[in-house]
Amino acid sequence: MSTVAQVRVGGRGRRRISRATLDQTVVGYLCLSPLLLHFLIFLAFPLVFSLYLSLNSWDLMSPDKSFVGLGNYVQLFHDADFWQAAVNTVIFAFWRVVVGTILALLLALLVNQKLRGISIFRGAIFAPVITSLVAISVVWLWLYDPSYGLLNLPVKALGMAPLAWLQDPHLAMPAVIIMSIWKGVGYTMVIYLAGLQGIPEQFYEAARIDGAGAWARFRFVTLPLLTPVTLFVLVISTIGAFQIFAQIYIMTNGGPVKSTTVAVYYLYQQGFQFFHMGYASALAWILFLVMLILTVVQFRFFRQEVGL
Amino acid sequence: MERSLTVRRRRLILGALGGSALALLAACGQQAGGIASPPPSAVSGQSSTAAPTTAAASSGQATPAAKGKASAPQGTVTGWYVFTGDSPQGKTMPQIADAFNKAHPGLTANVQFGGASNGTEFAQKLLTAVAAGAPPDTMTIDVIWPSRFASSNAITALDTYAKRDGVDFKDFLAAPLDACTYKGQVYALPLQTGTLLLYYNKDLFKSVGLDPEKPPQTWDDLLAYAQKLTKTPDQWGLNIPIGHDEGPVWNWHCLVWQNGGELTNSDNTKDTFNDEKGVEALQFWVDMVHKYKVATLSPPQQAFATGKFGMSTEVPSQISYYEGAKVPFEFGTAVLPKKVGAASNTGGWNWAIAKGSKNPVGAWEWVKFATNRDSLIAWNSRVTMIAPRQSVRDDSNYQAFEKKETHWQAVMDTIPIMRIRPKLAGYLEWSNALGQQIEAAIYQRASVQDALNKAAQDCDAILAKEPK
Repeated sequence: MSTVAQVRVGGRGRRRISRATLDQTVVGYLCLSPLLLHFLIFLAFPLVFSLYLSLNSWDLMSPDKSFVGLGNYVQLFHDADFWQAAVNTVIFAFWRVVVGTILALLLALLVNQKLRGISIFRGAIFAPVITSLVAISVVWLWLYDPSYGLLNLPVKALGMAPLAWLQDPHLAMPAVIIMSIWKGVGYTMVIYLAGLQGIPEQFYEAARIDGAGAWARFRFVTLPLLTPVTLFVLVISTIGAFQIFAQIYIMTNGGPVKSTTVAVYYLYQQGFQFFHMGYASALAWILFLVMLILTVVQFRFFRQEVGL
Repeated sequence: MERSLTVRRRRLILGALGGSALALLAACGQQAGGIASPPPSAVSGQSSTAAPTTAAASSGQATPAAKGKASAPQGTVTGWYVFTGDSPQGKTMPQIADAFNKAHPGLTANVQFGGASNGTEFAQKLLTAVAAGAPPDTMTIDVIWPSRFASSNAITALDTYAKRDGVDFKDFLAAPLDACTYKGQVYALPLQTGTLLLYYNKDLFKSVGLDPEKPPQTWDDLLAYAQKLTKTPDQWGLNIPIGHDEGPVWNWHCLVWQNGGELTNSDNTKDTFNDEKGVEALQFWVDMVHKYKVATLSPPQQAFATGKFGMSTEVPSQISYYEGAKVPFEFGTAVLPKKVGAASNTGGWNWAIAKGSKNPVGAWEWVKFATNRDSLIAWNSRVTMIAPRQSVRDDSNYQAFEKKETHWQAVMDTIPIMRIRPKLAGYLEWSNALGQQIEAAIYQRASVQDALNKAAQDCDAILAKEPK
């Protein structure tokens, strides 16, 4: 009670603030309003609405939704297809993040050389990042084609039977991972490149004077000083990897025999093909929680080294 | 002190913003509420107005009963269709719209490509538009959709309109009309009808000593021909659709029917595709791939067009597609091979009226016009799909087309054996559950019997959720 009163008194007391401050505040919020409106309508509202949907059973069209409490979540934990999708997602994310990050670092070291025309190489590696994922997926669909695919030319040249990249349950996931790394490695490389160029030359000079070789300089100067960059890269690419969808949708439809059915594809199927909006929303929230936990763990893990 | 005011201001402004957001939402809500409001019976109060306007009515249909002289329907009719602008359909639709506008002073048809050419994606766009309360007045829907749309109250039954205007449903082909009928009411009128035919490569037939004018008649023929046509490593006797989506599934339905089996029981409460007839049907496919090795698990894109496949099952529109694309070989078409009996499946697109339409009377005029005799002749002779009305097929112009088109006899012979897929609101989920197991069997992850039993178990659970 007393705090309320105090606030009120405080409020009344503050009526005498200058007109200018008031105007400033109003103008400030008016300037912010496009962003705030966008945030409220396109982010906050759908977020809350999907949480509400996850507690309901709804077919997207009917005016009525029936409240099922945590039923969707309980059903999820008994759904073998969901677990298969979860395992597939983890497999994809692991390889996409680990190989993608290491490759990006190596490429960054490579294109960090001061050579004539090096920006052409930087540009070439970055080019897939700015290309449309859907268009690129169609291109890779053809690259992987068992009869006419470019990627099967070397295989055929070696006298082996052409690989059915996307039709073989053992090869489909690796094929999607390779394509996704190719698509995303340029982005990570550029971040690493910025990190590399932010390391002062003096550190390397000092290390050289101490007799450090190339490997020691990399191991004890470059790598530790890149830790904040690595944290950022890991967090961003893990979140990205867990959201993989378009490649799967275009290239494999989750097949063959569910070998590439990942979480978001399964969510899409449930929500927009089978019209289980509540179930799909529950899946989205589980996915969100998993990513949140992973991100927190990553931050914890790097905390000491980065000094966060 | 300073701070508390700031907080209050912030609240105030946030409140105002929130209020405007709420107002926006409320506006959406109102629209959404509007969906359910005008039932067709309410609309039919204005019925007499619509009747005498169309050329369509006089050309193909019985004279409308009501010849009121009240004003004709007015306004704009918006429509979405699934055909891209560069397809034969996409080029024909604007011409039909022009003809409609000429025949209906006061009405303007604003029909356009709906932004997705893939049936599933198109349905998603429609459903989200319906859910948002802003559907087009009229739209094309696939033959597998009427049950879903009707049971979710997203489209309008056409019976009242048809009765008023004397549109005789019996004139439409039985199979697509049945697919558009839900709980005894017709919810869409067929525009083009598809089915599955056997396409075969006459050049390959000749090269292995098969008579190019004698396509296989039975499953045994099919296998024997496929064995002759297969030349490892890259020439295959038969293209079997691989995967778990609708392509393989609706193909496989035909095998079950040809083998004398049924997919579900008569009231769609239990799946029956896992009996011995269904098992035999799936075993036939599995054997073609693994035992006889006349089909591949990894066909290239556009398999039949590559000229490396002796036979393939595809829809009639591929006739004009292959002719237009000038595939480098001569091809033939035939009725699907028989086992115990002959059967093929039904596909195609149909015009429906959205429940949320602001101009349902005008929309009905469009549906009626776009499926009348002249429109269907213009449409289906250009896209080589089946014109789904008897009066069209009796028309001399259309018969001229049928005679001219050398590949058409197989289509004519297939019409009497067309069946339809189970009419389920959850059809796509049912089909996916079945498709996953067909795929598992073809990839030998499970025995055929186990795979189909698992499919029946999953599909039974989906049938149990069907709206009663």
